[in-house]
Amino acid sequence: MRAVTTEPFAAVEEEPGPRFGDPIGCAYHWVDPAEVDDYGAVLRRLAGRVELAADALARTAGMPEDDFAGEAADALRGRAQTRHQEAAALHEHLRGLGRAVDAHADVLRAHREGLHDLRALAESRGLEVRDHRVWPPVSTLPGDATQDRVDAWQDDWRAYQACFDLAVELRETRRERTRDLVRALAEHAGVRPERDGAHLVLPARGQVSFGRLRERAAEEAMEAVRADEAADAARAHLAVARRSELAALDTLEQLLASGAPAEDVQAQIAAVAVLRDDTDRAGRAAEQADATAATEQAQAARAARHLHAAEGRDGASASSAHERTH
Amino acid sequence: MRPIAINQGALRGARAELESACADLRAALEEVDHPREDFPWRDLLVAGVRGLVDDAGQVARRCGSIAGAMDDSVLDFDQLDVMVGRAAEVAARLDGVAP
Repeated sequence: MRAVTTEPFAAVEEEPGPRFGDPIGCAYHWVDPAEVDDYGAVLRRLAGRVELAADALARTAGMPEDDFAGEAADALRGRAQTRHQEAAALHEHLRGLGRAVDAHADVLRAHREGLHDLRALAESRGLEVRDHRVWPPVSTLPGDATQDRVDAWQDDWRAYQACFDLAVELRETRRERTRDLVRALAEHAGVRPERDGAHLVLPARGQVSFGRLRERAAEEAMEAVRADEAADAARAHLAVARRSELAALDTLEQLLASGAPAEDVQAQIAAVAVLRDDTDRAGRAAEQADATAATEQAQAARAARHLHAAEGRDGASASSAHERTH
Repeated sequence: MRPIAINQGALRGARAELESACADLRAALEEVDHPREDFPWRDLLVAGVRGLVDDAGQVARRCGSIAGAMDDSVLDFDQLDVMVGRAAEVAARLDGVAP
């Protein structure tokens, strides 16, 4: 009978997940979850039949001396008792694994629905969905692009980021919940990935460095987006500081016009001075943020040019990126 | 030494239950169909299930074997009845008594 150990379970790494800048797969290409449901049902049915056998063995083991006597009868009862215990343990393992398989069908179903949601999100945000993949936006932006064009480009990259984040979340959720199945296999069937042969697919070596350029270009694009957002925030802060300073100047003017006491006027002059310092600081911060945003945009453009040059040299297009399962 | 069946009815009942459970289990084992399409850890899952299915096959065989041992003891007693009957006939003839 199977010997199930209780060694600590060590997770085994699968292939790497989606890389930022690559097309994001949104097709579910695994087994139909209904088949996994059926598999769980088969295991539960088998568990039921093993339980019936265990009960029959228990009845044999429990036959009284009045019905069945002698040393040989005792030996037979002993055999039946041992087999009953083995069958009862097997029933528990089959039932436990059956439950884990049923749960796993739900995991796969949720993953499939999540990929549908990912596709819907990409389409709603205006990204290109082709060959069951969400394509990253165009990397380059002409130097003389209008502000509208820049804004649209940044919106596209924000949309791609949202899809990427969703793809990562789907994958992590699925992997985390799949650990339950692997744990159940170790506990109930005594099989483990590192000992009994894992199904592991690694990306082809030749494509890794090319993919790195794409990843770099995409990272630079997102840094440009974030720097632009920071510049917007700095400009908004400057506008608030200016309004506060102008309001304080208005108040000072009213105090002077109404002949307010000298100490009130002095206090207001001091308040205006503080607010002017705030405005100066906010102004310098906004200039700095604008300069940073311009630098990040230039870096993004440079990384995109490198990528396009490499694509041109290798005669490969973005669509030749290696398959990724998510 | 063979086990002595005192209550043959009870023994026959237990044996029949074991044989029926064994047959049902064998039938369920025939129905096991592993998923063919791929998914993460499919191979590991199928390897694990195959192991448990082998164990269930062993349970079926052992049930059959125990049922067989009980069967032996029941038949032995029946044969003993027949042998005792024949011995009684022979003894009666030797004594010149009509059977």
